[in-house]
Amino acid sequence: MNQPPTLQLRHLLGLETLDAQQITALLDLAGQMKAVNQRRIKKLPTLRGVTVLTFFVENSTRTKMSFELAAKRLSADVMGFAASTSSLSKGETLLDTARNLEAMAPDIVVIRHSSSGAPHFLAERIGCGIVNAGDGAHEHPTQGLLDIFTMREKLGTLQGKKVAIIGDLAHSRVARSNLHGLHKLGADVHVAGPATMIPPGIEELMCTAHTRVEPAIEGADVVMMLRIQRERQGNDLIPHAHEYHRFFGLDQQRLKLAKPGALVMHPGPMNRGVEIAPEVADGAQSVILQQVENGVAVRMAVLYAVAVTRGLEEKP
Amino acid sequence: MSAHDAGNFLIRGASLRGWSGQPERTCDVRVRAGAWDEIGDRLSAGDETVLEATGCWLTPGLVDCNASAREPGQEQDEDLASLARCAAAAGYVAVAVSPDTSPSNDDHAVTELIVRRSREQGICEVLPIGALTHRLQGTTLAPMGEMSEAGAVLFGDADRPITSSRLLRRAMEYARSFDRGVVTQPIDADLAASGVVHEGNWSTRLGCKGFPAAAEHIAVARDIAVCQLAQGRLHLARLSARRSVEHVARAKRDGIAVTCAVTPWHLLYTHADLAHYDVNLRFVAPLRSEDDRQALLAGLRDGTIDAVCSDHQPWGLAEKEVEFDRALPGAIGLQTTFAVLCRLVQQGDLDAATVVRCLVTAPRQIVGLAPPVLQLGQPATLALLDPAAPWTFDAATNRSKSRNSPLWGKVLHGNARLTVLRGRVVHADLPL
Repeated sequence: MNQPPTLQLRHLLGLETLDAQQITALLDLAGQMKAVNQRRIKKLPTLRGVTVLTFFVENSTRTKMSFELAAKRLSADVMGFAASTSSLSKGETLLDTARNLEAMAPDIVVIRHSSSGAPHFLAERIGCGIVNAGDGAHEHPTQGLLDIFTMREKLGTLQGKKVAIIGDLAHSRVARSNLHGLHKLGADVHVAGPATMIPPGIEELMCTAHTRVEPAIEGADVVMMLRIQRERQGNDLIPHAHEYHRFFGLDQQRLKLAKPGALVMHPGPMNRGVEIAPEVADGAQSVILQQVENGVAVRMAVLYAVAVTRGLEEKP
Repeated sequence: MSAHDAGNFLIRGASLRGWSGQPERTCDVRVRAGAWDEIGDRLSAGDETVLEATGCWLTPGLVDCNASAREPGQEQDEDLASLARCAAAAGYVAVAVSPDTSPSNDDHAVTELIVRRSREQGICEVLPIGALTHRLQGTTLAPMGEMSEAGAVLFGDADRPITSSRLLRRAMEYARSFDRGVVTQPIDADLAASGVVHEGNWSTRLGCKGFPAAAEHIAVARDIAVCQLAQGRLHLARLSARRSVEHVARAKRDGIAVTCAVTPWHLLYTHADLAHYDVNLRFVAPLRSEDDRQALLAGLRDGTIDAVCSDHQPWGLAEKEVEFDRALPGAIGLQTTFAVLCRLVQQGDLDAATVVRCLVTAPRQIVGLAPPVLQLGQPATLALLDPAAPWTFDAATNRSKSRNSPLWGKVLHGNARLTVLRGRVVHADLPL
């Protein structure tokens, strides 16, 4: 693995602070990692002796497993920490917990937290590399990278491609990371959803906002549906799931507005019949499972890049 | 001369500012045995200490209309003595303290405790703000009469919103019997929900829950309407939005008895300064847009906004070294408020007369203190302020038990050289 000299990555807090070159370098690196994942023996010795701690203060199955698998494929030692079984549930502050974890000398901490800015908080206060695995409604940079990786894999380039992101933009960290990354790689991004789910000033993240989904989907190369969280159904954001599906969900009919063969994406977990019709989710245009597959490669690339920047990798 | 001496000194060349019935002028002033002795031009020095104070302002002392002392109950973060030392070091001679202590100041016994301790310390006059409702819960009136007797100067529920308009009306009416005003922090709690960042492009970018400006100015409009109905006296503790200032301007034109204040932070920063999730920039009324900041500055210049309060909110690590949305709002402010305003004067946003009005004259009216007079023979209470003095806000200069300030470690300009309370030197920072 050769890391290009432009890719200095002490932490990965978000895609907002990365430039196009850095994003492209990470995607290229992920491409090499994907090739490793397709070998019979899916393992590299590069991060032998490096300790990766997954520090998940908010529930997650997929992202946590994906990171753990990525770390193991690079031969790192992986420790897991779950909030529900930890001292955080006994009233310890985030800083104290983090300092205790730091005392066990991990090299990289992968953090998922319900408060926006929590990874930045840790990055300023403890010495190890911090990788943001989702903070509040702020960013989920590895999800953004794996989405963009999948689009680039299928479309070749993102320059001038129309990408529609549909759903609860207000509460979506996935959407924010995608917006930052896609814009830098030249895509034409449209977001859509009921106005209750489109936050003020979203256009400043370089996208066009719509309150109906049709103009966003029309002629799109990619249609990405966001998860509608159960707790948001039937409160003041949307009346109920059924109505949401009728007006804002992606079904076969609406998908016809997009370019023929447009990619259908979803960060998961899906609510079938709410934001996406089952036949679309399972249809020929869906790349949802490939997103999951690419997630491991992207996370390997990120862990590798952070480790190399910090001089942790095993030198041949 | 050291702190706590009875003063014998001659202040040369300072300009008198903020005195009632005393035009602004540059002169020499002599204080002997703590009492005003002589005012004139080129007074000859006797055996007293001579302070060369050209460029300094000789004021009756700053007054703060909103600080939290944390005593009783949270003395690990601040107490009445440390609060008074912060105040004296910054030239404050009186500080109104909010009732959000533990227990809350909703009873004359707590009011008496605060007043008695502060008198014994004798560093700064501490003026308790009594709770408007029992335990700040917004349901039943607190005994305002007894608290008034014990020394409460205003009534309010700190930063808790009063949801019931009916209760607010009754409170304002009841307070009239004791000639007291009511102070509110205008928040429509339902609309604000649990917002932590001004709702706009920055809340979206940061992924933080938005606190729309409307959640403040709706409450400002309501509080003003209730004040008019109750024929009471209303003080709005901390404003942050343009429309709030517009509502107050109109109420003042209509002759409604309303005053309001802003914090130095809202004059200095905007929501764009939250890019790094600095917990010390999280406030009860969030930092808003540049347009709002300009409206606050304009409101201060034209007198719509009466005062600048320090909004001194000392918090320890457990409350502040946490995630942004879980951090308690506020920063320590007593020692840096004057310096922030001096910076704004330097930048051309404010003039010196406005600074004196909003730190010296107007807060006295809000908390019900008599206009300050310089009367020969009477004990001297004064603050000698140097608007240009450079200093660093750090562990060496900080007098608070807490250190939660966005200005920590920064070099500031503007500080008090000398503070005297009723003839007693309570702060002296002088090359003598």
